[in-house]
Amino acid sequence: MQHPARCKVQRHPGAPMSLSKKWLPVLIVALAFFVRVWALDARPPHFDEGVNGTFVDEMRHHPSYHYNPENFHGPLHFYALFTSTQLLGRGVWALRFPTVLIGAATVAMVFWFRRFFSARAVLVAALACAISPGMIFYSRDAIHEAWLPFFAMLACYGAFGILGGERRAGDLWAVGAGIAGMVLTKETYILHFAAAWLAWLAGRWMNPKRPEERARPAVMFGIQEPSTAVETKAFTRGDVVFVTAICAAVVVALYSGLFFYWRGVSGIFETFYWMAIKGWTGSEGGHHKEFLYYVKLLGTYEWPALIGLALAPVYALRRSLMAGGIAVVLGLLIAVSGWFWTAGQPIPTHPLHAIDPVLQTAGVTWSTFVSIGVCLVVVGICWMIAIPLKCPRLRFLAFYGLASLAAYSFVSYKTPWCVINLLWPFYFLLGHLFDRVTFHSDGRAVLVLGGILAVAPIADAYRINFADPVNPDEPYIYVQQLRDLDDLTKPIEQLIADDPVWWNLTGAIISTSPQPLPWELPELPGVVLQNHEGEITIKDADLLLVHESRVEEVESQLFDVYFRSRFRFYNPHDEHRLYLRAATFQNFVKPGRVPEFHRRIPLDEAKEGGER
Amino acid sequence: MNFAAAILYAMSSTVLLAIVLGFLRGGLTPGSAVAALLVGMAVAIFSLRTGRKSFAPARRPRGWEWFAVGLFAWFSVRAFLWLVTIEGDEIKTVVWNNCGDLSLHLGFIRYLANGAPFWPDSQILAGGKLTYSIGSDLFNSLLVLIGLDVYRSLVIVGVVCSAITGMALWRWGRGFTLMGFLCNGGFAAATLLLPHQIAVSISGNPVGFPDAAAWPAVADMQGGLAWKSIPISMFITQRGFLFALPAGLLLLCSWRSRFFNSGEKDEWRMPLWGEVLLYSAMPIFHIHTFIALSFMLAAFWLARVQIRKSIACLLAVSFIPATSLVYLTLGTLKAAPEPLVTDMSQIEDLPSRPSPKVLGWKPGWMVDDDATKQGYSALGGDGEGLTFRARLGRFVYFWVLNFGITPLLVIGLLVVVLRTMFRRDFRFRSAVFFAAVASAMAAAVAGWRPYEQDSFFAGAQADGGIPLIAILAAVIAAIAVKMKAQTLGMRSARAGLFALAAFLGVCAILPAVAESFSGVRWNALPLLGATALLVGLLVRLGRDGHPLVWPAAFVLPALYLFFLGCNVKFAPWEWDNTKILVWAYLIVLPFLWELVIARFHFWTRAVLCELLFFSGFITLFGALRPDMPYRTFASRSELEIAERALRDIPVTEPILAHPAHDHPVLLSGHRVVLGYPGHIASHGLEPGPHASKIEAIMRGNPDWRILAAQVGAHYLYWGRMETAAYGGEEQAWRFTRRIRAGQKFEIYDIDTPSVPLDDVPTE
Repeated sequence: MQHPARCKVQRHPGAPMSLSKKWLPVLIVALAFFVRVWALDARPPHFDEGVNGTFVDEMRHHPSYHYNPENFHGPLHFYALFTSTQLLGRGVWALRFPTVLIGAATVAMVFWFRRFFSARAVLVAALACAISPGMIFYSRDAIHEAWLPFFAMLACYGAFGILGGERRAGDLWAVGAGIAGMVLTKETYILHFAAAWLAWLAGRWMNPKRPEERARPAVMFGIQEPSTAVETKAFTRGDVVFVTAICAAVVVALYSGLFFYWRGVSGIFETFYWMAIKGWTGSEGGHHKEFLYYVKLLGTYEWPALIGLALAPVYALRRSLMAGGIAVVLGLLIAVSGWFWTAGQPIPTHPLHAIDPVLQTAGVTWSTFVSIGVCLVVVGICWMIAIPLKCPRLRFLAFYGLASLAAYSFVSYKTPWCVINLLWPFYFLLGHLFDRVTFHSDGRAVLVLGGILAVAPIADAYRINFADPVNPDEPYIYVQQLRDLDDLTKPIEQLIADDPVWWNLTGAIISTSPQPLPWELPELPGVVLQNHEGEITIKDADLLLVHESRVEEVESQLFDVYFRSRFRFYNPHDEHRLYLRAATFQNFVKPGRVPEFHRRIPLDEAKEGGER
Repeated sequence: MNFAAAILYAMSSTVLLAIVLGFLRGGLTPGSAVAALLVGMAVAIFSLRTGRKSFAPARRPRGWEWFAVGLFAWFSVRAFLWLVTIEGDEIKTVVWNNCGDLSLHLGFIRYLANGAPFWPDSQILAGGKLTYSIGSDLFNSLLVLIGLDVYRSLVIVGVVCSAITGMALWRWGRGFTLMGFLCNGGFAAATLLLPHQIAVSISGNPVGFPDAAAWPAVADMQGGLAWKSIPISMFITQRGFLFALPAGLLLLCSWRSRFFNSGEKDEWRMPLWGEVLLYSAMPIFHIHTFIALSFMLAAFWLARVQIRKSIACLLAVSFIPATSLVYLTLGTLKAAPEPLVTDMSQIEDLPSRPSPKVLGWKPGWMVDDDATKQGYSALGGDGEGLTFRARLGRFVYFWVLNFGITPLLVIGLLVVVLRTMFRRDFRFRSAVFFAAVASAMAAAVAGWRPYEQDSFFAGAQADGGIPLIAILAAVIAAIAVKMKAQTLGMRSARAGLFALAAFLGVCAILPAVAESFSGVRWNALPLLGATALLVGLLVRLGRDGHPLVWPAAFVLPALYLFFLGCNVKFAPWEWDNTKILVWAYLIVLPFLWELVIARFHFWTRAVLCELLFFSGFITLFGALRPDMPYRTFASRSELEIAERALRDIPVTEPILAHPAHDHPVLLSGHRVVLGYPGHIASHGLEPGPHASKIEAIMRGNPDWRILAAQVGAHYLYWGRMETAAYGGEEQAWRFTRRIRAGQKFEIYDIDTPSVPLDDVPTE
């Protein structure tokens, strides 16, 4: 039996689509949607969700998003969140629903690639995407990230069609919408553009085909089965101009706050400056992480993608002992040097301390060199044993996946949600492997193996999404508001439900970083936010949330009786105290609870209500 | 388009079934809401399954049409996604003149959702039945009954129906009609170039403009004019239009295809049952649209012999449901309160229930309203004058400011249509001549002003208007005599000119004989003439039967409808005539483009579109500009407190409260003795008697018990508005039983004596 080394295996041309092929995609997309939408509001709002929600609230009164390149991402997500909250009501569920939709749409879009890859490969890729713990978790989070893989995939789909020689207008629109969507989503699109460009160059350079066959992109991405190409009206140069103009207009419209905030347009470019500042310097050191952070995340949660990652250099590179050897040697040199210099760090007189300031500015440490060296060694070995695919699209995806991973790894500022941008190319490689193995062996055995491999991600997905979604020990659960929020919001909800007059309750939140509370409580005009370093103006109130550092001062000014409890936002070590006025909340706390704070009756400090 | 139609079928069938269930079960319930919505969904699915792939999809936008599509999308999103926002304790809306309307709709929605027995009593006038096209509100109340938040339901229905409207407008007349809908207007935006005081006098001070001192600036420039922005003043505010506009346009599209086989590449028609459903349900959603569509059907019946059977079939099937809904919409003819028997002498001859004063004679529409006079005066004209020149000046000012070059283009369209009708021998020169004569006649008639009976001919005689008309008549007669009438068409044209000359001649000599016929309603003559002309032309069209002349069957009745709206008022407030006029305008738009403007060179077309739409565009953009402050129309806590406090009071009980559009009792879906007087007057009812009684009761007049009994009130609400309006705490009714009390409100059962305060439950 000969396996065609092509993108798409045509086993029975012209045969009608089987029932499983017809319904499995529907089932997988339905599964993807279900696991993303189920118990969507069970987890308290994330820090970034609070920030995004606050921006959305501002859009209610100033109906355009004022893009700030210094702090925040593209405008599309905010318009989507605003639409959702206006249609479905203000709340966590409505805030998260757009990303649920786009997450499910990303899974659905994988099936579009049946035009280029075999049905089985696409099916496996879609399934992996549907059950991925990261894809599920961050699709249930009202942050920007879920949009980026969707648009990247859309652009890739269109580009595959166009570079393959078909001149469908739909492909042109897909590329335009994909690129515009990425630009509108997050400034990290530049990494993807660079990765795609590098992947394309690498694909041309390492094309295993004969030189005359790789003269033009159309040949490089050529459709293997011309007979299957759908004949449609080819787009013209005018169409290209038109699509470009429309997409550019949409980008400008949204960045310019619907033409009322033109500074936002220049922000499209300014953002790279701030991205460089944040990404490589220590301005937000709390988010700076090691070079192999994303690889470790893949190892922790994303086994299917890790297999794809392992396959990528093997599938992409053209076998070369010499090049592989050079890479191994170079990698060893870098790794050893890095290790040597890292080991020498404690020695103050070490000569290489002279270049430490340069490295610090670039956000690089000597341990980074060890990681880079190890990666080079692995790539070198893969180079030597490479089995390059003849399918140019899969090879492009392999290069693109590797380049994206490298680009994200080189940026010191790392957050776990970025990992979902790296996964999907590897899923296609996994799908291809699955298809190839099935073709050569017993399909049922492969199915069982696949099922076993799927157990780990499913279990992880269940654990972090449903069982314990606020566990700060999980690397994916990052800057996540703890359950302490319920101690504050639930009594208030019950109070207002009991008597609407409490919409006007009074209170103060004295904290450095109170998100997501400003979003949770903005409809209470009597509750004010105060910086924990500023002067405290409010004294007795219905509710007080006070940073640990100001507790003593605040308590000295209180005259009323309060229920007092510990409160933490996302950092378990950043303590606050929550005070609920006993007269107001006495019917809405745990039955039998005695107020823990009374000015004239000092209580034992250890006796705090609501201790966890 | 099938999808848009399916949603409309679903809405109409849901509402119709809900009304039936409402009568059967004594009011709306969650169960009947679920049943009605499920049936509506079933109807939509059925229509989608039966209608799919039966017609070609609509053509894609090209070139500049994308701008119209984009503008409509922006408008829909901006207007309806931001329709209601909640900021702290305040409930706000984006369009300022929506405050009153939104409150009314909110009240109706909650009133129906509270289970008001069918056919409901008026929520805003004790003693009368509800007289309003409540279809959209009823649909919203069904959504509320199944658990949707009322504000979300307003936004969702608004966004969906707006999208459908865009599709329907596109299907009816593509990009030009979309632009015409969004950017209707004249030259109001030109006031931006004028000094501050004059601009304010002409356009009025736009409500809600952030900085009044900075005005004039880009804002709702047409807010103070007669021909306001359709999307801002009607589409956003009148919820009935959300259904009526797309449904009416789709019906017109379907009729264009079914009756006239217009030959459009992407023509689309709905099944006959769909036409019947939408047409029959129209009265409950928007009665003015129903009038306009019925009028068009009558015109089609005259204009095409072959389709009379189809129209008769449609009307026959729709007759009973449509008539029933008209009857309900008119408040089962019991909209006004039953008059009281004030003395025993009336026992023998009981006073009958008065009818709402809706229809009326209003020749000239709003040409003589105060805003026009004020604006014309600001420009140096004689705003108040009755002389021929003053009236002519006001007339020209009114039409140019409100409509810009549209009337000129419409006259051109009329010429083209008539030329096509008399295509065999009606030469272009004659057409131009006819247009000139029509323009002169319109101006002369306006200046001659037979519209004001009391100063009938004085102004004209004093200012030389009559000689001018006489000269005009003579010139036309001379031309008619000179015309070579060798063919039927030419003979018809000559006859028309003779008729015109005769009409003007009569107009010229009328002053001399007017004194002898003082009882004759002279100002009806233009309308009568136009009616006769329309019937004649339609009959001629029907006899001709040539397929090329089908646009005349739309254009001529639409223009007549516009003229009718300029002479007869279909609502107490003459501005409400725009509900009729807008249909005439929308019907004409596609033909204006196809038959007139599209024939010009590209740059001429561009200039014409610029002149047509610039002012409307500025108005649209200005009214929805992001920095326009929102207006608060309710307090959330006050509303929720009122809802809770009124929960135990039957929804049928009218409550004594201050008549205001944003009163919490109204907004929480309870009846009041008297709602906002402006709303009541706009329904043709008289708020005065109830208003004086409420004033007397609230101030605690000695006979307050009698007055309360007269208006049928058993409960009194005393809150923030009442304190502000009536003050004091010594009213006699305070000795009755206080059944609810909170920090900012009290509710009294004024039929029951007071009880010890300890028994009063406190909110």
